[in-house]
Amino acid sequence: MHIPDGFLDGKTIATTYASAGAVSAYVIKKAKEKIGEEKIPLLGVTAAFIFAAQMVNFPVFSGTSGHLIGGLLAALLAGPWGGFLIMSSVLIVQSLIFADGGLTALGANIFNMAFLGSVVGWYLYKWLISFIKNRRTAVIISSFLSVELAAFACSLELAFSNTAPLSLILPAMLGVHAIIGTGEAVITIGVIEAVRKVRPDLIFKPEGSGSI
Amino acid sequence: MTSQKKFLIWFFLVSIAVVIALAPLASPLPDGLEKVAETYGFSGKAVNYPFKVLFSDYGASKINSPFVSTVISGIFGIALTAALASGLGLILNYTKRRVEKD
Repeated sequence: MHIPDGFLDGKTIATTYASAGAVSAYVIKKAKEKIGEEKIPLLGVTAAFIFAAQMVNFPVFSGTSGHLIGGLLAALLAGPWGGFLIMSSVLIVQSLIFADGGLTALGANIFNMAFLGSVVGWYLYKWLISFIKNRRTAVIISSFLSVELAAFACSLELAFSNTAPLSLILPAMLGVHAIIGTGEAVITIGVIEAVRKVRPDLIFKPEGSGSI
Repeated sequence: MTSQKKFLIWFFLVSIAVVIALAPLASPLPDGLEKVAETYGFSGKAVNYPFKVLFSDYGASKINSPFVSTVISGIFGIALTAALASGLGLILNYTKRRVEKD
């Protein structure tokens, strides 16, 4: 879902860069409080994994492919603020070194995949777990919804830029990303369960969630 | 329980394994957004990246083998991403200590 250069107009580029900048400033403040020195290697290694996993496009249907975004996965390992830093690092390297995701679209891509994927995805997970009481179900639903949320925001940005009418692209984007989001949920729960087997303590837990 | 250091080394090795074993098999089909852009006729609005990047389309242009080209660009990418994310963590911790000292 990496938006290339040319899809967003000037006002959308400015708005999305400003939004991503505001979120980054807030995350930096929170990360200074919450991320200790001992978490630094985890940030690096998780970012490496997300980058690698994003290279693996899987076919979905009728000549379309998709790949993991990994926003919730990063947040489950490094917390929402760490997740945002990890996802932003991945997106910056993908854009500047691989031209995957435009330079003018970097603000939008960070907003959609790092902020909505990691931070909003995490709070969605935390909210779900407060009443579902089932960790696995909450991981599956929130990772799926984080992809749909990013697809929703991406559609709004394209429509706002007059690139395509919302009535056409919104259903199309949500439809194809429902399938890609299912892949996201499968990979996220698979990796999280594997990590839980060897290091259950490394799964970031919502405050006050007890043994979940 | 696996020590933290051992876990991190394993996790990093898994990422390298993903680049070597899975990335070369990645589907070349357009992704969700690209497909929607093709279907609704706005894929032509995409413009080239404003400057020449090191690995366009996850490949090294001077290497003929697609497998080697993908693996080299992938390994470079994971190394750089890991350096950037942990670098951000380091800077945040360093500036935090500076603020605490003042």
